[in-house]
Amino acid sequence: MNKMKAISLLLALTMLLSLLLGCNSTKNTASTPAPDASATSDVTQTTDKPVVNSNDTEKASESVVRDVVNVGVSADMTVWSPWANGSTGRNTALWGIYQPLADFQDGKYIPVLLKTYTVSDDSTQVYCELWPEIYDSEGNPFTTDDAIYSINKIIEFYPQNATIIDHVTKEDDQKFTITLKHELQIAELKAIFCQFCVTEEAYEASPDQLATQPVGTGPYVLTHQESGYMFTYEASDNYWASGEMIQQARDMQNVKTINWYVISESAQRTIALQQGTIDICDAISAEDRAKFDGINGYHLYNYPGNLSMKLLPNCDESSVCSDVNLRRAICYAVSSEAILNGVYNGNGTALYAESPAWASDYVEAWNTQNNYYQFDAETAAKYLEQSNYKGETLRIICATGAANTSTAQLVLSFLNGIGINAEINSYESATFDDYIQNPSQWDIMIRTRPCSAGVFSQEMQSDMFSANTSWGGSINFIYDEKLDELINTAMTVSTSTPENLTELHDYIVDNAYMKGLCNYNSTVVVPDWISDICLSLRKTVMPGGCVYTEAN
Amino acid sequence: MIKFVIKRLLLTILVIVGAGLIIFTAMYFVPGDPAQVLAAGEKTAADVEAMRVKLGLDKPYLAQLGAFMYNTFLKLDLGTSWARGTSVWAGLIERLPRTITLGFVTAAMIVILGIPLGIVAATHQGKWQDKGLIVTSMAFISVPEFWLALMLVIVFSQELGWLPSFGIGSWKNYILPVIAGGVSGICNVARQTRASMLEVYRADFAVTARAKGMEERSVVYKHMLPNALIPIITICGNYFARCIGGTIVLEKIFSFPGVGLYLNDAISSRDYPIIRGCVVIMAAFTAIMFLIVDLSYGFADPQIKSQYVNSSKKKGQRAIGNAEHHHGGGHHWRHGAERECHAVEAGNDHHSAGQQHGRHHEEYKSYATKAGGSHQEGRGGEHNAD
Repeated sequence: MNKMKAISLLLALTMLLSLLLGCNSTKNTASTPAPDASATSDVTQTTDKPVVNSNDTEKASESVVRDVVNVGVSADMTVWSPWANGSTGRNTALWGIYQPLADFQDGKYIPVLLKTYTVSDDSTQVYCELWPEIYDSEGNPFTTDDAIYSINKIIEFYPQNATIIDHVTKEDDQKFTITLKHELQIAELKAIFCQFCVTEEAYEASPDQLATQPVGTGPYVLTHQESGYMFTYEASDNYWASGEMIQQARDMQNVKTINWYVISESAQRTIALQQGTIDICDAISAEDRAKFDGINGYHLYNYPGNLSMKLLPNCDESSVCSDVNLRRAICYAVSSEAILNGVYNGNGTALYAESPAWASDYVEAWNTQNNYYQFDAETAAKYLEQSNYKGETLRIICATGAANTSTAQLVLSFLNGIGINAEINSYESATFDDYIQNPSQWDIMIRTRPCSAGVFSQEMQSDMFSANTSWGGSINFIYDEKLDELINTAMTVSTSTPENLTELHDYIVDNAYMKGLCNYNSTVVVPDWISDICLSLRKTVMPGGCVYTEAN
Repeated sequence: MIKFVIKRLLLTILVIVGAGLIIFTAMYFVPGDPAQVLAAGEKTAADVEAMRVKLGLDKPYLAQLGAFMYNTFLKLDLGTSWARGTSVWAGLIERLPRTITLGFVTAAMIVILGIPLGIVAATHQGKWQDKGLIVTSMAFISVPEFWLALMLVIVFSQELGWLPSFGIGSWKNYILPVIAGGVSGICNVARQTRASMLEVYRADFAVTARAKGMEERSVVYKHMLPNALIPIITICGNYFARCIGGTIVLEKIFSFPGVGLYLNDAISSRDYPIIRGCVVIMAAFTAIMFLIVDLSYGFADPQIKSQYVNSSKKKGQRAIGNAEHHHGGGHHWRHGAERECHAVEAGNDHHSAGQQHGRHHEEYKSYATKAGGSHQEGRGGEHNAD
């Protein structure tokens, strides 16, 4: 009997110990071979580092050339073809292999394969000139023919781009002219300029359209891959660009070998960083930031992410939210700050407009305009009274995922606070994408939306422009010609003025067509031998453009 | 025997084709339009429709089903991934060895540790070894696999830094997933082994063997274990059959690039060719493993083997066999020759051995029914084995 008691006690103690060990894991220990995690805190030093250096080629060229860097990514490279559906893996790592005609930073195009480009006075033609002597990793020359071939392929793969380009004319081996169908709009060329280009010879020679073995003009070549586990880039020996041809850090080769490890679980990426298995990771969860913040050996970079959380009422006539006063009541009832703090631990910015403030055509005055539905329960109640709401239960739809469901829960509690009944329906992403197309399935949508181009008016076009959706209305079933007209005006280069942008913003606010909630930060953790990080257009780390202070 | 194998193989093929049919139909009706998911960027109605035509989703259900069945089962072509643009076979061939390795090592560990633990518990019934196993196994069986996996990662990777938490770089990468996937299995097998061993612990043939002065070790391993083996084989077979399909959660937690993670990624992107391909391969593997398990019964139990052999005989012969059986004329199956000798020496327990056999026969029948039901047939031929 005593033996039994002893065994039971031992087992209980073992389980308790494992629980305690498991749960008490918020700090790193000194036992891992990674950077010294037991040292003293140095928060100021780590958080005051410059966030991004993707433009300064002079500074990037001062970097020590490092032999190997190991990077943790959250998703596998689905397909290596230059033109395919976007995926996290492609967005993260494909930029080192292929290059576009031009890149896009802070609202400006930075030529890459292009040497120069000019837009005609009437904004209907773009004159392009390529750098001479461009070669891909197989040694095939990249000329105007290849650029036109690539543009035609881009139009074939992304048919919506066909609405922009009328035709492309070859001038000579380096020069060509793009004729547009209409007057150029803000960031519109991005659809062509920022897509990858390849040589026709390499693409046609590939049996699977470069799906498994990419051949690009970029600074790196794929040398090894184990699907689902890792892939390796080596600096291309016959990289065509040097000196003045490199106009941004993104196109540099500051590392000889980059090993990309696919680690789908967030917690595993954190552990891999702590163990030193990987050096860099740009997919660290908000919860795990504390494990690196102020820890010697790491730098923690925090920057506004590409995605913003938004609230979109269903404006279809069949929904109770077609009532503008109810929409206003909802917008006033929900506190963006509370969602930022409750869902993202305050790691981001509450929005004062429909897009994040870092968008290139964002009007600063909106931040102080004080018309953007700051939380006000009294005003919300007033609008609710004016509405036709009769106690119906509003259906909040969101995709599964901690941030989405937590946001939905907070929205629900805010709505309950002013007397609106609501319920949450969350679905996995593909089902969610299907259900949101049916106006009878939901009343309020909670979702994250990207601001990929970094342009407010373009983001509004994606979200609100009726021609962009398969059902002919906006993403939340707005059929409003005036809205389309305002978006068009705000997007056209010649009429994209702060006044017109503000008119669009005010119109959306006045009609309570959507409420931007918050733009949350992305976190990159790098070792302290990286002094500047380089981010891609998709805001993922490009190791080749980072500045290293130590060699291997 | 060959006839039995051929019959089972045909049934296995039917099961695989049935699985293909079910997964196709399920995916056809599940919400979530693949064309919508796969159409790149901003989508107009025309873009989505164009994608639907490109993927062949515009065709009626029967046409799509026919094409899928023809390509999969006649041309053995699982198609091309919609999201990846690569052959599904190529993707599976790359990942299957990893998953099978993980699954087999886990199943092997379950068998190697589970059976001896069960035997120790049974032979020490009521003692601390037995009670320790009962308590420990209850604890680990009740612990969810994913939770144990997370705890192992936190303790051995994060806190102690002893083992890697992801990847396939070395044999060390397999340690944590194997432990996480195997612990509850070890406990289940140990409990089953214990229960089966206890059932035969005081059986007449075991008592007789002990009375004849056989060493306890010999009684356990030569007499008791072979007689307790069928349910143990059944439960162990389940773990081998789960080699591919049973590791999905573990692969996700350990970022292990196997078939499970491949399938998991495909589900969220509605990549039907990968989903269908994985399910068909999983079904095929499981069905084949169960076939092997069923055949292994024959090796473990000559009576069952005789069922296989005689399964094609006429019913009349079965009746004769049954009549013989009810007269208790058989010997204990495993030790027929041995027991005959013992019976002659002991001179008095031949009849009781026959009764014992009858009892065991009923148990085997019930286990066989659980394992797939095929062993009930040809029952009448059982005594021919002796």
